[in-house]
Amino acid sequence: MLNLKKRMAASKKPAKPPVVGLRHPVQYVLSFLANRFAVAREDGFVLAHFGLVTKADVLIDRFTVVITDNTLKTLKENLVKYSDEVGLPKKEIPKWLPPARKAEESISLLSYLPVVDFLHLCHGNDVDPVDAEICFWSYSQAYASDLSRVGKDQTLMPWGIALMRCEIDLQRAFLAELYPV
Amino acid sequence: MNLASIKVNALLSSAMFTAGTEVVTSEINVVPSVIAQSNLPSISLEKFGFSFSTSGTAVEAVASQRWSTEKAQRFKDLSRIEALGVLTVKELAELETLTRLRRSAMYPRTADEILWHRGQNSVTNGLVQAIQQYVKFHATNHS
Repeated sequence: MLNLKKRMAASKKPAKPPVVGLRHPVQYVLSFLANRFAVAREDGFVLAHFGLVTKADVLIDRFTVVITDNTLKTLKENLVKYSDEVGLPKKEIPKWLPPARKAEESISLLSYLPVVDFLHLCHGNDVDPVDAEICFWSYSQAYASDLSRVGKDQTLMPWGIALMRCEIDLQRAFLAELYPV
Repeated sequence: MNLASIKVNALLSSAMFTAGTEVVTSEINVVPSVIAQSNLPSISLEKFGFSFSTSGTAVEAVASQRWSTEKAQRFKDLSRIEALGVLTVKELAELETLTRLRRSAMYPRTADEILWHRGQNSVTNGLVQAIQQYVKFHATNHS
């Protein structure tokens, strides 16, 4: 009787969804340093702007990615738990409003708005200043789905859209902004 | 043959070796800084809120730095020192990091719970500040 109950309970247990591992991309389209960011919420997606601003307040580099609401939703557990482990920013990152793009930027890589499917984050040891990194990855959901049908332990290598280096507090603030309370 | 090698002795490990050409000389050795934490990359294909002809994608979670017996012992030691009131700034930062790690390892919370607690802390801090301003206002008016 007890075994029967156990079997019934086991049969009710929802099947674990197939998991596809992501391998780190061999290379990235862009790499850059950022000390400013801004998150703009649109209908169904978020624009994440990053900039590198000098002491003289001159913008010398910038980059923007698109993250859909669905991606944010599916990454929520992952990113909020990571955010909880790294904590909230200890110092404030200056507010930044990304300037409108100039005409000459429209033909450069800077104007391209890649869609991000996965954010891989890490940071170094607690030795001041702590460096952090956000890697922006993109992958074909059709391919991921196909792989899941092949069997267990499948991995795919996403497209390395951009590798961004920043201070830990920018990473902390960015995550808090992505998932506000 | 010249060999370009990258040594990785951090948490995100594995050594990479690239064979260089005969012409290009010198060995390249990079010892990256130790990575303390990262989120783990894996996707679980289940819920899909929007329509694709194939089945959906959802990204599953988890963070990486592991709670260990050494860290647990260090946490106890630092907590004891803190109770005696003699922690340095560096030790305080370490205790804070260990407290966060311990909480996520021993008492994992969902994203919604984490955000709810953040909201609660924010509201409580606002309340404490308001009370402090209130007390200061009355103290200065009556003095």
